[in-house]
Amino acid sequence: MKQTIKVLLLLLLILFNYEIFLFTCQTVSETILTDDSSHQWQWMHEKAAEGAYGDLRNGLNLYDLYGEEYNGLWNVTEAYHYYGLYRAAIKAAPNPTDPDFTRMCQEQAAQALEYLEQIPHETGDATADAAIRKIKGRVSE
Amino acid sequence: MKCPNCGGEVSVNDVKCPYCGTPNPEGIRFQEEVHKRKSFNEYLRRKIEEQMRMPLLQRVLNLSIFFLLLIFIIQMFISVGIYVLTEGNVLAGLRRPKDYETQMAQMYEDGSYGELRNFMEQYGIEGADYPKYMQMCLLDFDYQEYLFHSMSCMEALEQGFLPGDYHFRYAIDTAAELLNPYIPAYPVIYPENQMVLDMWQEEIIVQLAGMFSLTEEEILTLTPESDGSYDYKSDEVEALLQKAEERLKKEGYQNETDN
Repeated sequence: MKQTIKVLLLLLLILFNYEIFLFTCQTVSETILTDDSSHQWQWMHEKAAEGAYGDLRNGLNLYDLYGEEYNGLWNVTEAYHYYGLYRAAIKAAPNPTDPDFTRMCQEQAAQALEYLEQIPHETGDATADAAIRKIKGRVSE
Repeated sequence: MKCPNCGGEVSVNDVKCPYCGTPNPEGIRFQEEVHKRKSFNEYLRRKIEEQMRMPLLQRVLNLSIFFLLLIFIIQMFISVGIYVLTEGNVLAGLRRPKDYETQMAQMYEDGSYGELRNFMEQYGIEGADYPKYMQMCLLDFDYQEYLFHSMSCMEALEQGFLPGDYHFRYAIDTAAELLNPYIPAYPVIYPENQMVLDMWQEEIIVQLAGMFSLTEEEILTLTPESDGSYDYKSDEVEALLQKAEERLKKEGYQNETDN
């Protein structure tokens, strides 16, 4: 009985040591040795090119990508946000029973359009610039 | 005792008389007895030793357990050390830049609340020490969630499809969280925060009205109770979701899977 317990304890210790060793190696390789930025950069640009602006915004937030090199991509999401707001405001504006609401929508549309036009589309990031130009082009559609 | 030959004093330990050398039968018998007992004791000792000595396997087992336990403890220390260095905030305070308050104020002024939140986390700056900033960071977290879902809905609508259930539901749900925030903006103490929240709320009302064909009255069911008390608006969210889906279908939007 005592022998059996010792064998079980030995097996458990082997398992625990193996798991901790794996965890340590994984943490070291993921946190210290791996540079994930190139993979993130590629993923973000794919989303911008595909027009998946919601996912792009979520990714930028999730990975806390606030470096200057990501300004172009943030601008893409801002452009689409203002474009969406503009479109929604234009659609919601006609409201004969509530002129205050109509005025609010018109003001939102004008402001969104102004912000959209202010977003630069020559940031040096070709994918981001193309996406911003495409979004701006949709306003006149 | 006396020697039978010369009469001299002979001890029981002597096998011969120390005076005349005559063999001492008593001494001989005594020494034989002692020798016998010594042999027997030696035999017993060996027997006990044999029984007490553990088999090789058991010794190996005990040593293995001891060393594995030692390795386990050392690895635990190393893992905790690595975790504290990489994830913990133990060293964060030491790395904090000298002008961190200026940087934080600038980020707040610029409206870069996400970057501000990241900065505070990175340098272990407690939100309780900067409640104005922390409050805005928390509200911005909800706003970014709203943007993620509303933008995804917009992408689907532009292609003529109804938004997927996940984005559809959470666009309205996150809108509800901003129109009726659990942690208010405290307009008297932090009017700047309230101003930004008002701006976001107006934007959300217009966007939900335009995107999902909802009326302002319907959207305002998501705002706080008249007595200002907080109540999670799950029924109202569900009701708006159904109305929005019906109206979008009437406008000709289809489920993407039906296409």
